[in-house]
Amino acid sequence: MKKIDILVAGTANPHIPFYLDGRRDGISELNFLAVSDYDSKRLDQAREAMKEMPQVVFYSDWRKMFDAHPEAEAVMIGSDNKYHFEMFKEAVKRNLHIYSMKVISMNEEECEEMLRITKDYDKVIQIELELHFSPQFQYAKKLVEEGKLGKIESIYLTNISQSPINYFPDWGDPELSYGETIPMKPGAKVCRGGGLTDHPHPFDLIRWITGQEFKKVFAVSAKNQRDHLRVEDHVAITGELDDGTKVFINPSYSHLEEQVATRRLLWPKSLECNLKITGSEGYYAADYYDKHVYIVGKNFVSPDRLIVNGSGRVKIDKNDSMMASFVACVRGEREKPETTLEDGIAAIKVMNAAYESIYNNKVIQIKR
Amino acid sequence: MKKEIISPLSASVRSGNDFYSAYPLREWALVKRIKQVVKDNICGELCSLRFTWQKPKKDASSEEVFLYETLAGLIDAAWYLANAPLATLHIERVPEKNNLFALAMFKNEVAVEFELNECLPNSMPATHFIKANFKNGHVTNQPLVGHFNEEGSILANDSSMERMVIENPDWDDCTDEIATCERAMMRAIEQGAYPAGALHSVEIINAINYALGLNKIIIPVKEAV
Repeated sequence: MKKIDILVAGTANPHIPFYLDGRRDGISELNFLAVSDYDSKRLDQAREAMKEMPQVVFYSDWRKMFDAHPEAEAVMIGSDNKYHFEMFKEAVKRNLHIYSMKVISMNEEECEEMLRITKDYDKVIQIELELHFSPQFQYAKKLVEEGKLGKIESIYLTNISQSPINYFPDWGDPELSYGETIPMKPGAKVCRGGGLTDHPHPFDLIRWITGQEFKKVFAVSAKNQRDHLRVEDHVAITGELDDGTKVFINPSYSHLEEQVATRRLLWPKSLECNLKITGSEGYYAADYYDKHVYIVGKNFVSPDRLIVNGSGRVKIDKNDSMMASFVACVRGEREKPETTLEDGIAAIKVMNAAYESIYNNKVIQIKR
Repeated sequence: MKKEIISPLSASVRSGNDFYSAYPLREWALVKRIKQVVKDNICGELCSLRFTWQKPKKDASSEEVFLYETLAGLIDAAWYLANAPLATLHIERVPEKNNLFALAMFKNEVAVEFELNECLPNSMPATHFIKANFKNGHVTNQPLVGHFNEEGSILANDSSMERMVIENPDWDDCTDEIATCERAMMRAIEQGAYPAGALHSVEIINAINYALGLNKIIIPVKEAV
């Protein structure tokens, strides 16, 4: 079957390298036409990652890339969050399928505009919220839907990582990440655009697993662990869903990394994504690294350290990945993307409510 | 002289210093170790704390103890470690249950997360963890992986607790990691991704027999290439 001709608009998102160098599932169905990035260092990294793909053309201006490739069928939006909106609009104008890194935009007016202009859009729009494809979270959804845990009373979910601040170009700029510079609290030097902006998964997963919307949130943010980081590295959130389920979410950068220019973890686990569901009839707990291994290796991504990692899974369905799901939608083999623009925006509304709660030190009701 | 020890609730309405308030978690070895780490400046400045307090419901305390001894004691421990006055406390509690999440901010911007759940199924053990995040390090007894620092997910009800390895959500035999290997092998064979033939069977069986001194050599190991 013909591969999908795709452009890559921006490489700022830390997940983009996984697509460019082929580590993400489903990539074999893509034909990369071109990659753009205004940052020459990032563009050089993309060139290096794609050196085995001589057909790929590299651009410093994403608009020129769009103009030069009218044959493109799809675009992967992976720029700094601030530029997602303009790229999205241009992609719609050109009638392209859209695969966007999250968050699509922290600006809710832009989000509303994106919804408006794609109300009757006949192309696929998918937001990369890839934890839908982790079997232990799929199993959680199944348990809840089948009522095996009884009435759900509380959900605890963390999405804690290290910060890419030291080794990912331009990371930690509030303007690029959040879209504007807004202090976390009145008079604070630390601004929005850190751990919370970077981790929409918990908000999306809780909606997806329970089928419930968030009703209200209260959030706090500690002093930063990293003095050189201009965006927040800690946020903790409590809240309630429409059905009264109590929730706790921590989407922080609380795992420290070494202060060197490469990815070198200090805390030996890059991602703590732990889910705990308490129901009236049962309890379920899952970890992203549910089949963990410990690796120490001089050539491992975080070398010469004991690192917790996952050992992979057996896949029985070729469409069982975020990109394969997108490809199936583009080819008409699947009706609806696994994670839609609406899903991405619903998470953003809760995240912005959490920021507002921290700023005003009060409970915020979620806007509908 | 008799030492009078009273609950935090009683202490809250009493003045003077002729009694002791019962905050035994101040003497929790983990709390004391974190306090020492702060004092010795081993990890730099303390930024945030997370307290995890979980029990099966058969061991749940009364509501009064849960709120005014356990939660109060954990807040006191947090205060002791943060070493600054409490500025904000927010609680989300499951109605009429010993199950809540709480967030606290101290005046020095140390944030504290509390997860208190005494509604675990009766098949589960209690767990008590603290994670302290500093500017230059971490101190914790929290598992690195999962609920008990062991592989897989946990599914429990009052009568049993299973440790599951979920390869695919629609597979029934999620409890056995090795059984999933057999599934994976069958699938690999179907897809042509698994080599045919005896593989190293001859050498392996011969080697076992040879090593055990059993007279069942099929082909001498040295000849089996």
